Amino acid sequence: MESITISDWIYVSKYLGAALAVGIAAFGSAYGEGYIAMKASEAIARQPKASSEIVRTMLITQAVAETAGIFGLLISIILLFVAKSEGGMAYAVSLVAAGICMGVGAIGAGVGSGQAGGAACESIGRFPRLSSSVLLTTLVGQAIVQTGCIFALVIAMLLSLMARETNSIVVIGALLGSGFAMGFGAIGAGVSTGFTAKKAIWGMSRDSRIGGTLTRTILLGQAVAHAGAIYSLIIAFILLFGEKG
Amino acid sequence: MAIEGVHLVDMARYLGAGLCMGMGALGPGLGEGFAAGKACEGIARSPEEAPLLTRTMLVGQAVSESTGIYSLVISLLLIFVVGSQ
Repeated sequence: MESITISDWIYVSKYLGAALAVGIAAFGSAYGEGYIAMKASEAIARQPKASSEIVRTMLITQAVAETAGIFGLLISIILLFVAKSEGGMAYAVSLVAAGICMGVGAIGAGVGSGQAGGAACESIGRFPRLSSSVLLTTLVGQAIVQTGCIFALVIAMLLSLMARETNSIVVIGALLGSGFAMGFGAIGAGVSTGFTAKKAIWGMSRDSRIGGTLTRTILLGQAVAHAGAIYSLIIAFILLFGEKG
Repeated sequence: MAIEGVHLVDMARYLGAGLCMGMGALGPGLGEGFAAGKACEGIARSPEEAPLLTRTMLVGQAVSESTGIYSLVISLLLIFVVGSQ
C-alpha cells in the first residue's frame, strides 16, 4: 500500500467532493423548479388568458430556485480547479466534507424555493391583476429561504480553501463533523420556510389588504425557523476553527 | 500515522458533535416553518385574529425548538466538556 500517497488521497477527495457538491445540490433545485412548472401548467389550464403572466412568474421564480444548484456548481468548480493540491490527510477529508456540506445543504433551499414559486404561479393564475405584489412577496420569501443554503456555502468554502498540513485523526473527525452539521442543518429550515412563504402567498392573493401583516408574519416565522440552521452554523464554526490537533 | 486510542476518542467526539447538531436541526427547522406557514394561512382567513395567531405560532415554535436545543447542548458538551479517559 506504500504507493498510495497523501497527494493521491487529496485528488480522490477533490473529485468525490466535487461530485457530491453539485450532484446532491442538483436534486433540490430540480425538484423545486419542476414543482413550479407543474403549478404553472395547472394555472394556465385553469386560466389560459393569463398565460403570459404565469409563464413570466414561472421563469422568474425558477431562476431564484436555481440559486441553490448554482452554489453547488460553484463549490464543485472551486474543488476541481481552485483548491490547493498540497496538504495533510485532514485537508483531504475537509474537501469531501465540503462537498457533502454544500450538496446536502442545498436540498432544502431548492425544495423550499420551489414551494414558494409554485404558490406564486397558482395565485397569479387565479388573480392575474395582483401579479406584481404577489411576485414581490414571493421573491422576498424565496430569498430568505436561501439563507440556510448560504450558511452551507460559507462553511463549504472555508472547508475547501483552508489547507492544513496535519494528519491528525482528531482534526479529521472535527472537519467531517463540521461538514455534516451544516449540511444536514440547512435542510429543515429550507423546506419549511418555503412552506411558510407558500401559505403567505396564498393568503396574500386571497386578500391583498393584509399584505403588511402577512409580510411581518412571514419574516418573523422564517427567522425563527432558521434557528436550527444557526445553531448548526455555530457548531460548524467551532469544529472548524478550534484547533484541538 | 500512529493512531492512539485517545485520538480515536477525540475524533468520535467531534464527528459526533457534528452529526448531532446536523440531524438535530432538521426536525425543528421543518416543524417551525410549518407552524409559521399555517399561521400565515390563518391570518389570511381572519386578519383580525393576527395577534393571537402570531402568539400561538411563537409558542408552538418555541416548543418545537426544544429538541433542537437538546442537540445544541449535547454538541457543545461533546466538544468542550466530555474528557477522554
